Amino acid sequence: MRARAVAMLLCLAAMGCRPSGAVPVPAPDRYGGVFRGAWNRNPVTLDPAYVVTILDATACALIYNGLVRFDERGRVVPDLAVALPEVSPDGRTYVFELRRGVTFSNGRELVADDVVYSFRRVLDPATASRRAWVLEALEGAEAFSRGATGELPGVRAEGSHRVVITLVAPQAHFLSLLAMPAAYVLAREEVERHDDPRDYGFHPVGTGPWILDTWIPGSRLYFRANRDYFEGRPYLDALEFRIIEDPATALAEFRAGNLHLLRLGPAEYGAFLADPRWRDCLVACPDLAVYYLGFNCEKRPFNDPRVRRAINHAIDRIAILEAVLPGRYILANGSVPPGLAGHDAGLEGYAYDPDLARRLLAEAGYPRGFRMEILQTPSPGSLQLTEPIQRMLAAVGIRARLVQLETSAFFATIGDGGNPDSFLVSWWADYPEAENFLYPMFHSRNRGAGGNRARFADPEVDRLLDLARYTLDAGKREALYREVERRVFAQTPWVPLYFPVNYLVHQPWVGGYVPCPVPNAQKMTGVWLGPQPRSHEARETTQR
Amino acid sequence: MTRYLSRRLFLMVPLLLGVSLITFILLYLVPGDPVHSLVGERASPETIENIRRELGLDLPVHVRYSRWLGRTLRGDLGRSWVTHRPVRESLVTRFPVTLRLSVLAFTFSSVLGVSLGIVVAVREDRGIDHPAHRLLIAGQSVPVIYLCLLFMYVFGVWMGVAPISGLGDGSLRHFLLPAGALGLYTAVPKARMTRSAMLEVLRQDYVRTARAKGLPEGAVIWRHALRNAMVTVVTVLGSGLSNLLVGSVLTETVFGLPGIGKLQIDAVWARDFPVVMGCFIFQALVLSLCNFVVDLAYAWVNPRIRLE
Amino acid sequence: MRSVRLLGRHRAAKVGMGIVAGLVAMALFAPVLAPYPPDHMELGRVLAPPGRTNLLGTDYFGRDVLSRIIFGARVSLTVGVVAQLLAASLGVTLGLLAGYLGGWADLAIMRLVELVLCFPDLLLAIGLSVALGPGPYTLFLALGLVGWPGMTRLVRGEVLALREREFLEAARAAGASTGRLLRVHLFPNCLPTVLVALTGGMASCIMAEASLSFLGLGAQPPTPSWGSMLSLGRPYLHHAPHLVIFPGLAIALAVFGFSLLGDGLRDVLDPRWACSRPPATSRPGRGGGPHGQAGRS
Repeated sequence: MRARAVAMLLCLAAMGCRPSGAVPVPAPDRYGGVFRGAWNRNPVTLDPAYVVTILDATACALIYNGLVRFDERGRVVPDLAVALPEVSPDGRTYVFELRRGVTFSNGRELVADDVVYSFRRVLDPATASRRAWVLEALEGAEAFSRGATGELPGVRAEGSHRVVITLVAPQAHFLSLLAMPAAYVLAREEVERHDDPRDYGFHPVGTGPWILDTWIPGSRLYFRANRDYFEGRPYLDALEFRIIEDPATALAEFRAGNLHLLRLGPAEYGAFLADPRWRDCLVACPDLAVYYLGFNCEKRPFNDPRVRRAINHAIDRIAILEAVLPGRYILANGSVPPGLAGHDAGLEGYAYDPDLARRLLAEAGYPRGFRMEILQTPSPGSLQLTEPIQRMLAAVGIRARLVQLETSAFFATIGDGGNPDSFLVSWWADYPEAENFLYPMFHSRNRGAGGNRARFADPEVDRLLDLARYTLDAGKREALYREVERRVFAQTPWVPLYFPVNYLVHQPWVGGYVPCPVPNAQKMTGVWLGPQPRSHEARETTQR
Repeated sequence: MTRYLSRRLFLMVPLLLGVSLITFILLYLVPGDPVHSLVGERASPETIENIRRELGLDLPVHVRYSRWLGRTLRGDLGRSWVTHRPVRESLVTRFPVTLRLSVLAFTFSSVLGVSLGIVVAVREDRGIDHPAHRLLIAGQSVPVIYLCLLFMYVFGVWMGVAPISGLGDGSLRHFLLPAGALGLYTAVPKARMTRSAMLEVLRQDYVRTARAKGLPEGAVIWRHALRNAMVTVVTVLGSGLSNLLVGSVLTETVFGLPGIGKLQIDAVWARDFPVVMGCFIFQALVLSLCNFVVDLAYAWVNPRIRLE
Repeated sequence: MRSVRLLGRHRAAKVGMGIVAGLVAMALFAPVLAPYPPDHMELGRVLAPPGRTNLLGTDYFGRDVLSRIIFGARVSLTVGVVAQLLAASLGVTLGLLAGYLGGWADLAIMRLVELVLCFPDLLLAIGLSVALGPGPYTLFLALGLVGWPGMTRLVRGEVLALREREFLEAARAAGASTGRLLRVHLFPNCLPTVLVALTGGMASCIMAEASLSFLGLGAQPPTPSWGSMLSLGRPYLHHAPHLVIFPGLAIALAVFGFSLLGDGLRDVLDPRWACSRPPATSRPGRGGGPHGQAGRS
């Protein structure tokens, strides 16, 4: 079953990765047109210092640039910098040469001081940025962000087009951090123009390929093309994203031709895949995320690895996932998703074996099971997973209660604010590195709110993780991360569930759309609209 | 009369204060604070402390309330904790959606409800009604969320005659289904109350006299009965406002319309206190003002009140 | 006794009683009536349309929709009864006190009533449920605390009308204590009104429960509640509309039953209301007549 899912995924991914579009159009004829997309929520803010959600990151990517960015395969490539930086042999100093002639959409040229300003702003305690940790490795960042000093020696401008960054200690994944929204470069005068700097988030100004034109909260956002974009103007004239929360509505609008791209919900995927008209327009996009049922490894009875293993054996993950997310998941046996260096395809999961589960429970001293709570957020998606889990646990004598907590209360409880038994949660990558999964989720330093919700602690894992984070050699680093993952999952701090796979479908006349696993890699510059077949409306009616 | 009205207006002040106090206390009792969902993953304890201080969560509750009150009296409802958008701006941008939905639904339900009520009453007066009355009770038993979902399914999915949900480009057709569902929902109580009022009037002596005089039935109903039933009908229309407000909150939520109700429910989920406070106060204000207008209309059509 | 006979002759009330009795039977004998256990999953038979094996189809876990609706009656009725009892005990006590004591107490209680009535009831219930956090008692408390002011108004009105009547004078002259007066003389006289309001209140409670559960603030899974069935079935509106249609029908039917019964009771117990008078106190807002509570949310 798993093999099938993976094979299908690979095949679709292959289909998706070639720039698709039914009628190839020569490049000069690709210009013009308005792309119509849909977002299922209103973005919260377009101020990079406050960006937390994936949607906000997606939107900011259209407006801003960083020194570096991710390409569609998640590799770090130069963005505002001319080239990847020179790194000093000790791995602490990065020197960036900036492109010349890059202008903000207000017409002013971008200079090195803008980079310094943007980084200082994120670390400044007055900003109260949610993402100060992204730049915490800069020299002097700790004292500066406490407000103890106004000096931030970690970032400085040398002349108008050179930026020098120094770190407290080498950090193997530092360039990936610089590609995150928090490290986007913005113009000081645009932030300070507003009486209250918090208004900036609704009037963002960047150097990116798109300029925010209108934003009607809860309704739509309209971006027009930046004709002076330093990589050349995008093909399209404008992007329009409507806020459509209800998947059925989005589907109807797509079928009516009013949307160019649609993220498929669980119910629609099968219908599109079966339909030959759409098969060429389906794009698979594996997300860099993992869903898991975590245990509180500090609390009885979950501090006993046998109990954790028993629960792993008691749950038929494949049956659940096939029923709930057919074709939309990759079974997870570890934490690092496929496609990242450090993913271990050889990890073996625990097979469904309720008898073994009962034996293990008896061995651990719970022949008649016990009561436990499974915490979760009140989303229908998580219920679809936990309700079958609850039943399967009951079959081995464990009486699980599902507790739904509102998002904030949930994270407070599984973080430092509570003492949960177990919880269903997902982890989404900020940047495409194994480090972004293993270090926050299993290093004992990050216990609780830091990301290690399972309260997993193993001195050897800590040591290996620290070592890997400072190992600049990619091959060695990957080996270390694999070793960490094997050690961790031998001790089963979780029931790993799945890596999600999303499906997008676009209209046949949309060309050049390439899916990006890292949300803020999508700049939409290569997308174009071919001639739209006139018979389109006639072809589509609302599906019964 | 003027004294009565000014007293009514004046009484709104303690009422609004009470509403704000109750809302504030409720919000204070809510377990947990939104900081954890604001900061996302991997925020340091300092960041969390920093944000908590920025939001004023470290202060005792009475200080927070008096600060809020002070700002509000100056016309500043604060900013959303989540989006940083000024609450007043959010209310202003979203109110037109709610207003449009409400006006459409109100018009539809008033026309439908009152005429249905009259028809039922007239027929009942002749002794042929009962099933229609039962139908009205049945109509009142359908929850508005169910009505919304049925409308979505029948007209949106099945027949495909109107957009299923969302505001789209804001054109009228996006309001068809929500206003239809909400209108139908609020029409039923109006029909029932109109029916009662009409029945009572129809049994009055002067109506009997008019009939005895041999006036045509239409004239009896239009000229005599209806005019006298209007007093009650005004009240009927006014009394539906609270219902309309609650209904619009649910309708907006189901249909994903970015109005005040949607804003409020989303803010409740996100524990976005300033927005929740703003919405509640705004609704209480609108409701009190509407009730005030209804009182005015009531006093105008009913001389007895004016003398009080 | 006379009332019971009258009720038996009242056609609408009979229908209402039939529906309510059916609901109660459904709730009591759910395990016998339901073809499957409510949380029995067949992951191989998900989203099956209504048919022979599953009369009303299955949901996204292959659970039988009919069985879940039958068990859902338990949630709706329990919530309704407990919340209404809470509302009634609070409302009647305060109403009696306000009406009988008058003056200061009356003023204070009625101001409180007005304040609570100022909130549209469902919004207040939403606020309360969020404040109390999801849990089994939240719904009871939230709906109970929302329902009392209407009851207080009614009872107070009733008491005001009774206060000056001779039998009370007589009892007072005979030296009855205030407590005894309230309990023995006033309360029984208010009982018909309270009963009518309670029945109508059940209807609105069932509706409110559905709305709260729809918003995710009500019953917690895997408890089968009609409102949460609506909410979780909603994403499947395109492909499996039976997930929404049948639970909604169940809600409507239950509310219909209680409304009819309430109307019948009112006609029988409270002759003042018998000839379809418009609510005398029909003021904008709630708490109009004895039935003023019904028909919300």
